[in-house]
Amino acid sequence: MLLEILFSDGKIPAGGLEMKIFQVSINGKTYRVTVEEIAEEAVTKEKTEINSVETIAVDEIINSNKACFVDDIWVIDSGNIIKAPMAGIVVDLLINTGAEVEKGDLIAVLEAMKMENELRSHRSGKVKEIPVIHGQFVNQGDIIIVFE
Amino acid sequence: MNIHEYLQELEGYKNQFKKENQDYKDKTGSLSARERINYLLDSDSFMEIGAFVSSDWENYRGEPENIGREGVITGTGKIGGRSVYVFSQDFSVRGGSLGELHALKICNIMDLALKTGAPIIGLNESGGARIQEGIYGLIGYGNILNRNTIASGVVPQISVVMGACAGGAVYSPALTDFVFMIAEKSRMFITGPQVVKCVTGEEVSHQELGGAITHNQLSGVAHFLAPNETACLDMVRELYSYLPLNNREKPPVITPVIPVVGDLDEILKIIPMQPQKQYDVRRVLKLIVDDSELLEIHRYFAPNVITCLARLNGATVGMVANQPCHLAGCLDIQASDKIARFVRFCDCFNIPLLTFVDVPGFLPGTSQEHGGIIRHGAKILYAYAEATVPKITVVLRKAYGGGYMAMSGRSLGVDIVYAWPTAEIAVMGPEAAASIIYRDEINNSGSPDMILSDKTKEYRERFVNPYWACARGLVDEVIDPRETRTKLIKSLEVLSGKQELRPAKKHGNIPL
Repeated sequence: MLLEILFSDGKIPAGGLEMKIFQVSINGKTYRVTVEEIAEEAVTKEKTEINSVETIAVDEIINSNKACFVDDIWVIDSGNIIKAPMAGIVVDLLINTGAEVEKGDLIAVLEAMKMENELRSHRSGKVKEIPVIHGQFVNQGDIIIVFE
Repeated sequence: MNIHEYLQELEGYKNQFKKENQDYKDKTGSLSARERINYLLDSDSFMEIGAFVSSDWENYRGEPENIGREGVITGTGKIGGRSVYVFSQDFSVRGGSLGELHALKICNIMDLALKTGAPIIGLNESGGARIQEGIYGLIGYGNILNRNTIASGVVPQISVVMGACAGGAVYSPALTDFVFMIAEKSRMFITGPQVVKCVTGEEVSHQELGGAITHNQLSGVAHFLAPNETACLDMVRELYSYLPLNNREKPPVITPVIPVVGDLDEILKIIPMQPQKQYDVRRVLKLIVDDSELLEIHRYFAPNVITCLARLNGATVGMVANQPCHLAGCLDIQASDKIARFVRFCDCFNIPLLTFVDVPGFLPGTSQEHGGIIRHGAKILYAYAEATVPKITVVLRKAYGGGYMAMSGRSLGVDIVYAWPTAEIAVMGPEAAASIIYRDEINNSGSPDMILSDKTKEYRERFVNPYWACARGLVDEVIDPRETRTKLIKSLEVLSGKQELRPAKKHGNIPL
């Protein structure tokens, strides 16, 4: 496969990449695509996501041989709230109030037992309330997310 | 009567006792008691025992159609060509209620199973004691529970809760080795929602009180969760394939299938290099075992540890592992119960134990201490020390303090201990250790934080690795993770003739 990328003005922009229109030619066919440069933080985040997708994919492949097992349940279904599974410090909150969350999305990181424990959503939905703040100590059972 | 009339009479009885309540089947959409047995067992292998038992004989009026059936089908058959005894309660006959003769039929096959050394599988669906028979029902329960206990550790016992199981009906499953439940269908409780409401005023649904999800995730009463009846029976067959017929046998060995590995280095990529990062330990286990297949027991209960059956070079092994992506993989009350029960099961039935350690310690806090983590944690220590099957431990990453001891540490009589180069074996985490050992030095200095971080670094470099433990004989060998599977297979071969004698005693006194 032959892939050529030409900048719309034919030059690499001096001030770095932000939002640029590219002309991409694949196997002789020409496409015009808009490419947006994103902050480094977002890139790291996307990488983590890709990693976790990989994990799930491997599990799915292995589990697909055994259709008789119920789908993996990562978190206990606690209805429209997500509680802290253990006492610890909220070191990262990855969503905001009003965000649409998918089942399995990483929503917060809780530091406990000297480990960064990822909290993932057990359901999809819109976040109504986040009663905790970054850096806050929470006890086991404290509410972290309330869904609508 | 001539012989043909006798035969005709016999045929009449046979038809009567094999009859099924079609209305009930149509209404519930479930398999009948007999269909369940036929689905579970190899085709045409079922041999019914006690077909004509009936407590209704007094009402017999000369016509077979007038005789009531007993509400349970009992007999023997094969799964994968190996013997098993089965009973299947029939909810369409008096709610599967247990009377004197119903219990007698079950006891009869349990006795046969014990005498011949074959597992017992119970397909349970019963409303409880048959109240019309008064205390005879209770005596029946007593007889079954007594046999459950005597058979425990002699033949594997599996209970499948196919529907409702209330009152006395729940204790027989509870005494067996494994309990299967079906989502949205099975339920188990000592007292149902009506009684709960009447006595305490609490309103609760059947499923919430004792459904499959409740018992699989919260109470730990059930070990397996199935989406429907047939899938559930498939899972029972699969579990059965791992188990020996009795405690005098070794588990079956099948033709091995090597694990699904795309890239040999895959196993090196799973554990993050930062000790505070989590990962799914099942990915490690799947790269080690045959065909990448794990049969998880208590999959949804205490997910901070994994207990599973798997095969290594075709032979059954029991695996225990910390799960760092749940509660940091720590040990708590529920995890302790889960591990101890599993280890004791494996020891009963000659299944070697492999333990994979990445444990930050026991979960601290008042809820744990007040809940008796000391008493519960002691069960793991007891179970591992008591077990005489081959025991191998692999330290993957963290192995700190009491948590490490409990996770099959060398001194609990473990035969071989391996460690990955990433292992951190120490009495406690480096920071906590440094802050105690160098307390005076840190407190007396002008910048305690800096001294602490220096000392922590020093402690980590000197002591937090597998080599110190190796030098002291706590670890036999530090291995390349890619060699784990081959090392384990060789070690199990070497240990296959292991015999360990214990002082004569009636039985030990495990903390409960």
